[in-house]
Amino acid sequence: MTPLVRLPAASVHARRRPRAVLALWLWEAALGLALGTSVASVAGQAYGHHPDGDAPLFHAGGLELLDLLRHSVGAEGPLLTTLVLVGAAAHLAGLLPATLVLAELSFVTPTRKAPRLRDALGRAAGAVPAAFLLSMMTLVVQAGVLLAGFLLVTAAWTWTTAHLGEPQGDKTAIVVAALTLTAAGALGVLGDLARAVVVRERAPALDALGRALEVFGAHPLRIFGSAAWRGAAAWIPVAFALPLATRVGGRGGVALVALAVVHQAVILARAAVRASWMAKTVRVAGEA
Amino acid sequence: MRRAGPLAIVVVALLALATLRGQLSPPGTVDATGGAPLDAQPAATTPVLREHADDVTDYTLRARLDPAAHTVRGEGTIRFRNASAAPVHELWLHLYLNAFKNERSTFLREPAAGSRGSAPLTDWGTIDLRTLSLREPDGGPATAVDLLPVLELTRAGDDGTPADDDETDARVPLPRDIAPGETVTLDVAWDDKLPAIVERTGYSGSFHFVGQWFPKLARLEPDGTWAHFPFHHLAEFYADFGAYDVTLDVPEAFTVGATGPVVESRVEQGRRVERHVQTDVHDFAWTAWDRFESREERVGDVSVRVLYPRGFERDAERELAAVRFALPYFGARYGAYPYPTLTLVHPPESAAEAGGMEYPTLITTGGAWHGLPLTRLIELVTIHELGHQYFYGLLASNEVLWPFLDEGVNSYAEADALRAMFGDGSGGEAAGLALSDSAVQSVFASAFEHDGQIAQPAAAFTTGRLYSALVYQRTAAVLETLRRVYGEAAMRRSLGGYARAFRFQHPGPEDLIASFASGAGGDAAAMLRRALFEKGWVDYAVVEVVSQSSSRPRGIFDRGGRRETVKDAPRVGGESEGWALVERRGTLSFPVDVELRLASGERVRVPWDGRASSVRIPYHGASPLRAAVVDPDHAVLLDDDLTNNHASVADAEAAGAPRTLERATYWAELVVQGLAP
Repeated sequence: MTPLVRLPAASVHARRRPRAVLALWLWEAALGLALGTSVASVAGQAYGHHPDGDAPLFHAGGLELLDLLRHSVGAEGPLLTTLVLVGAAAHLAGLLPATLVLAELSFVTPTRKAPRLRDALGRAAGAVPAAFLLSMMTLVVQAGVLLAGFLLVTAAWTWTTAHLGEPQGDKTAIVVAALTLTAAGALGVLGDLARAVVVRERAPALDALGRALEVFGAHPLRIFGSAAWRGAAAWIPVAFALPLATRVGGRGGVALVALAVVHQAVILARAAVRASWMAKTVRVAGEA
Repeated sequence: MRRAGPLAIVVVALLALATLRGQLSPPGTVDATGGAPLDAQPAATTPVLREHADDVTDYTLRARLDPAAHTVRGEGTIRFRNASAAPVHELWLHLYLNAFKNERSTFLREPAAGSRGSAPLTDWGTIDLRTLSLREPDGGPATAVDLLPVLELTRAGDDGTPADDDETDARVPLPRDIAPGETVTLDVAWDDKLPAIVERTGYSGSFHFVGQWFPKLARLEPDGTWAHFPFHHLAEFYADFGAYDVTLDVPEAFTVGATGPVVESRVEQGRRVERHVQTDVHDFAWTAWDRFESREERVGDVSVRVLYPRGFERDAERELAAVRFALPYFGARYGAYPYPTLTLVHPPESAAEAGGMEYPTLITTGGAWHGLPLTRLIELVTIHELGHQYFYGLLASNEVLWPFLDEGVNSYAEADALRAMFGDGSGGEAAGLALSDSAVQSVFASAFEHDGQIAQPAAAFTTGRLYSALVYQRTAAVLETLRRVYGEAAMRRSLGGYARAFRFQHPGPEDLIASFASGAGGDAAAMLRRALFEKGWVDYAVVEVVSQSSSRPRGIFDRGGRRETVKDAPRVGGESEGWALVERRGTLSFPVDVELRLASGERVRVPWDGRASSVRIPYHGASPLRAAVVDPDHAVLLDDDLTNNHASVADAEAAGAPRTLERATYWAELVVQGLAP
């Protein structure tokens, strides 16, 4: 195993590690394909032998699609199970790809080259237990914040609706909900920073959390803003792809292949944005 | 009244998943009249529209609202003409607010899962008569006979069973018979205690919607029997036409919306007094609230007014846009709207149960304040309730006995108008996924097609879901199938003719079926009857597709006096032959097309009358047969299962579901990214 050295924090950028971005995309594509195949199998059983394949499911009016949903009653159980399993995998098993990307971003070989996959994996695997602990802590606290937020939203809506009418009640509820989500998001940012410390410095989870708090406390708006704009930017390619999907509709052949390419480009772009945020967490954590 | 079903929730969820684009096509791109009106068709098929109803029951009432106590104090007169052929020796009065009086009422004793009005009541409602007297023909109140002492609010069953505790259907024995053609006058006075908003009436804060609020005569049928009913959970109403002259007295700060135009208005001593007069109607409802905003405009000859809560401007505009389109559209199909006013009431969200309801010249709508165009729900409710001005208002069928005649036929009218307004996305449209209202109706209804017949009394339905599926959606799907199979012109002759011929009448199921018999033919009428009364259903399926190269037949043949045995089967000119075996399951039958798909890509349509339970469609041609699709245009919206409408030859390669795989994978990837740690 080749020893790895830390790259200076300021030099950590996702664009210098395209392999990390690709790895992230591959992981997400594999999980997506697993879930997508479950859904497609239901459609394939009903329309696999139709001369137009599953094109009727995309007909305007949605009659065939709704009819299939009606006749697929009972399939929602296994589909839901698959969704839960994939969701759990996305979150828990997803810790390894996440730490792998962080390791790829943070370290180089003594000759300043990108680490070999085996070496980066070793570094990432060592950080998974602490990352898991951090993830659970973050989730629990986020759940508490969301619960409190829900109660606050309900109370604010009830009071404002009674006194100022429903539109004002709904708007107030939206504001309170947005504040709650912001708080939960800030906790997520804190968890991401701590995870970067865990991977980069092999720090125990609580020490890493302390460091993250210190860093985040110093520049909360700048750091949260950095996460927020990336979060928003990640939806831009999705919005751009929507009209194409609408235009393609139930067409197959080249049009379908083109759509698939565009969609995967969207997923890849989002993976790049995520890797960019991870690189940012490493840079910020390195400032401390 | 509009009811939502579970499928609506699925549809909304689907649309939510498919959204983000969220921009709907602009409405009104289609001529609102949808082509030539029925009036433009040959006179032989165009019934002359009646200008007025047969005036049987006139109400002159005065009502005073106390919004703090949620009470209405009322008084007035009822003029009743015995329009039947038999003497009348008793009256039946509906006191429907007593449905909310206690848990022994018929309404509260009838479970109706899946319908509105099922939540526990938070405040009771009552109607108490203070005066009920019959004036003698030659005198005024001084000569009146007090009928209160003989009023039977509850009564024992014929077999000596204990008295029913329901107080919504009161019998009034008369001191003398009312002869056929004779008119009598009743003096009435009563007190309403409005319930917390339930079903269609009541209050929420200072918002009041006042329906079924006065002592109302049941309808006297032509044979002299009274069509009277307790207030059932799922049932609506039935009454004679007449003139309503109602003076409403509310606090000055309150805005009033009511049946009919305002003919007199004044403010005195801090009270707003409005007199509304409307002839040729069979009910009167009103609303009063101190937080209403209001918009008014003329649509054709009709003054349309929208009352809505502050902040609901976007909803109000969408509702007005729907009326702008649908009023002339319905007018072209079912005859012009005959009243001078139409009032739309958008209740506050806390009174949502008052939304989605119809009264003569007044309808209630609904929807969230932000009016996000994710679905067509606002337009759907508005157009549905507007359609009731025809199928309920002008065609005053017995809603209690035959609810499909108003709700079902009107659900068809709703979907038809929405399709004309929005096209294939009439139910909602987002991210390339367009759902039609008709598709939602038919698929939701199909899930319940074997559970009961459409044509039965409202109270016979065991759940609100079943009622909604069969009465609303299934009826609409039946009519839409008839339109698609027999054509638009036949539909306009049938349903348009029905609406015109029975304007200001009380048509029954046979009238509707007879209209289809004359407008679309005997087969259409027979299918309609079977679908309505006999749980009629149908499922077309392609069960086998066979294709082989044409060859000379093998076997022993006697030709020219000689016996010849053919062992080999040489091909004939590279041609193919085969067949598609198509089945029709169920009790309904409609003519359909069977589309043969050839290896060359050609498509050959073969019509089948659909009468037999199966048909083998032969094929012979240059290109091999690869697949067959029955009813490829989905003319038969009632088809129980569309997934068996196609089949391919046995050796055909499965096309799979690549489009679904691509979309599902993409959306799943987005979900995975959202769940990533």
